[in-house]
Parts: sequence; structure tokens; C-alpha cells
Amino acid sequence: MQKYFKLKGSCEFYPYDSGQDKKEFIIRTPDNRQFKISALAKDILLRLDGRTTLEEIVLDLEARSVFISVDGLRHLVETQYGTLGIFENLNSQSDDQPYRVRIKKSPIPFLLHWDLIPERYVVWVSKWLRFLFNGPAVTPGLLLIIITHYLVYAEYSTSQFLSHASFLWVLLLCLLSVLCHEFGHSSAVSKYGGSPGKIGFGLYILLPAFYADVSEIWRFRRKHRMVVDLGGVYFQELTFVAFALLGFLTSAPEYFVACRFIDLMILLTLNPVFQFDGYWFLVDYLALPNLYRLTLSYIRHWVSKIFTHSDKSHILPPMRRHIYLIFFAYTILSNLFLGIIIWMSYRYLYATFTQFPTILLAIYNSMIFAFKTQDLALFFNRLVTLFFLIAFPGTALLGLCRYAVNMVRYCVAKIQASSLSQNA
Amino acid sequence: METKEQLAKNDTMNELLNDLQPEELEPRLELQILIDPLAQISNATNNVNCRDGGNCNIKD
Repeated sequence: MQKYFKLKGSCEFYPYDSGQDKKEFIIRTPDNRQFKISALAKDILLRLDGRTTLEEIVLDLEARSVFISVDGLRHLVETQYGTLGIFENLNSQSDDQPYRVRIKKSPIPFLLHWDLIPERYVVWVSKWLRFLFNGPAVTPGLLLIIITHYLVYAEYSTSQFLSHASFLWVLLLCLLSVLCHEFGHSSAVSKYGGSPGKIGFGLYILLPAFYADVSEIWRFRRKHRMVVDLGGVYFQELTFVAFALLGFLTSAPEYFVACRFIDLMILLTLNPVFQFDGYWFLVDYLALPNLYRLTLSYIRHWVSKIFTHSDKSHILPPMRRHIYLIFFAYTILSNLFLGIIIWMSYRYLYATFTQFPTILLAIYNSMIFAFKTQDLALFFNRLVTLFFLIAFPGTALLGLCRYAVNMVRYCVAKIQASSLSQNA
Repeated sequence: METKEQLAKNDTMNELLNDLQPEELEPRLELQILIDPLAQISNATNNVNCRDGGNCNIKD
């Protein structure tokens, strides 16, 4: 029976700001996963230095009026912490170690994803941009955002003017604004002393999305986490200002159309139903990590209670009354909204695939015309347009295929598990 | 049948074990989706000009 456990030296502890009086900590494991633990758990883990026995730790805990048996402590350490890969002497399975070490990978919310900008470049650029979060920059920045919004929507809003915009330029401007959005998050991380991660591109549900890895901010103060969450919106609105100014100078409608797309993208990202900026802002405001999983389990508990008359109670983390009210409202509204999103996704797919042949034909004819008239600029413009025209439904199709494969694998696994249990 | 003391002890133990359980924190990926400008393309094709017996080009 194992007497000594030795915590790996590469594990790190940080305080976790939950906005409440209770002291909590984060342990970062050698494979960069982060876990929230109590102050007592941290004390126990720090005692596991390879020299202190579990009996000694149990005696120390008794002196603090915490009563747990040696076997209870061993079971807890092996089952709850041993599977995290944080102990040096628990890496292989043997007869003395009945608990298999499972090093799980946390799920990333993308069907597919690729790294676009490596971490070292993100860190370098963020250092130069973080001044935009300083007081003397924020106030004029916000003023400019308000003024340019008024001018864009009041003065440059006729549909005749906007319909002359070139789709390709609008798309490129939108891409640029999204990149600025991600650097907004990264720069905020840099501002508060953290090191931002890479920026990438992926398929979120069926939509192409960019992302910035800011996992380090779990150790930030709660208010700083909230600033990082809104940092992307802030930078993207600064891009709105830049486009608006360029539009005023050049009178090119592309800038004003891009401004409208920026506001539309920001409205979508502030939606807390999916894991966009609005969701993370709510997570940090409520100080409820894993908010979505918590709401799902809460809904399941109440549905089960209604249909099976179960009298089991659902254990929620401790929260103040106003926090509970917001959590309850979010649980109901987010699940209702999910239904609307599924319906909108169906409409998006339907429109995308039914319009595709018509638009493809128009672009193809335009390319032929450009080729015949030797208009290289027009030909190139249509070629790039064609690429993006195929990319959007292409990514949606790829996402659908991936979901279908995952669904089939899940069903097969369930059938196999069911037949195994029947045979047993 | 468990006595009240045993039940209370079990409750305390469960509370302690709950307190000592780690809770994994999700990776923080701040997302921004790219709006599909297909609607914009549809508007552009409404201005299609067809000339010379069927050669069409989208208005630039």
C-alpha cells in the first residue's frame, strides 16, 4: 500500500478570485490543465512531498479539526488527484496501484481548429497594443466610438449608397476586424501581467471562427478577467472607428458596410448562450466556472424531479441571492434560445446551399467575361470571391459530416456497451 | 440502522470530500465568428448586368 506521494515540481498554485470570502486556489498541472481547489486541498497537496506519510497528514488535519481516515485520504488522493498526472510516483499501473492514471485532455469547443499566429508573435504584438487599455487611451477611445457610430448610422446609411460596396473588400475588412478583436483579448492579458496564447482559426459548430487562447486569466482578479472578456469588443469597435474615418475620407461604401458587419458580429459575440465573449463575461461576473455544464445539470435535475418525482436535491455551489437569480434566469433563457439557434442554423444552411448554384453561376460567367476581355483585376477579384463562396458552405458541410461521424460513433459505442452489459 | 451520530458523521465526511474535489476549469478560448457575407453576394447579384447575348458580370 502506497505510503508516500510526491507532487511533481512542475505543478503550480495560484489564488483564484471567486468574488467571495472563501479562499480558493488553482493548480496548474504539468500538461497545462487548470483545476480549482479549496485551500484545504492545496495544503494537503503541498504536504505530499514524498517524505510525509499520509498518517502524519491525517494527524495534522485532526489538529485543525478536520477528521478523515488514512484510507479515506488515500482514496481521495488516488481517485481524485492521482488521475490528473500530478504525482511522480503514480505514472504506471501495478498490483500495488489499483487506480489507473488517466491523463484526460480537456475538450476544445471546435470541430476542427488550426493555429494561425504563434504565441511568440501574439505576445510581441500585444506588448505594443496594451497601452490602449490605459486610462488616457480608453476615455477618448470610447468617445470616438460613440461619435463615429452616430455619424455612420445617421449620415451614411442609404441602401443605394451601401449596395455599391464590393463584397470582397467588405469580407477582407471584416477579417481584419476579427483579427483586431483577438488581439484585443491578448493585449488585455498582457496588460495585467499575463502571457497570451496563440491565435487560431476553427470551426465552431458550423461557423468559421477565430479564437485567442487566454486560459491564463483564470488566475487573474475577477474584474481583470471581465476586462479581458470585453477587450475583444473594445478593439473591434476601435477598428470600427478606423474604418469610419477612412470611409469619411474616401467615401468608399465598403468601410461603412464593414462597420455594420462589425456591430452585427459584436452583438452575436455578446450573446451568452454559446462560448463567446458574453458567456465568459457572465462566467466571470457570476464567478461560476463551467457555467454551461452547471445549467444543463440543473435543468436535467428539475426535469427528472418533475417526471420521476425524485426528492433528490441538486447541489449548487454557494452563491448570493442576486447571483442565484441571474443564474436561474440564464438557465431558462439560454436553453430557450438554444432552440431558436438550432432553427436559425437550419435556415442558414438552407439559404447557403440553395443560393450557392445561382451565385456560383453568376461568378463563373463573370470570370469568363473577365478572361475574354483580359481584365486581370476583375478575374482575380472573382477568383478570390469564388474561394470564399465555396469556403463558407464548405466549412458548414465539413461540420455536418463531422457531427454525423461523431453521432454514428456515439451510437455504436452505446450499442456495444448495451450488448456487453446484457451478456454480462 | 445508523444512529444520528453516524448519519451526522457521514454528512460531515461527504461535505469534506466535496470540498476536496478538484473542479476542472475550461480552457479559455475567446471566440469571434465570421459573419457569412453570402447575403452581401445575393445583393450584388441583384445588380447583375447581362450584355452581348448572355455575358454577365457582377457589378463591381
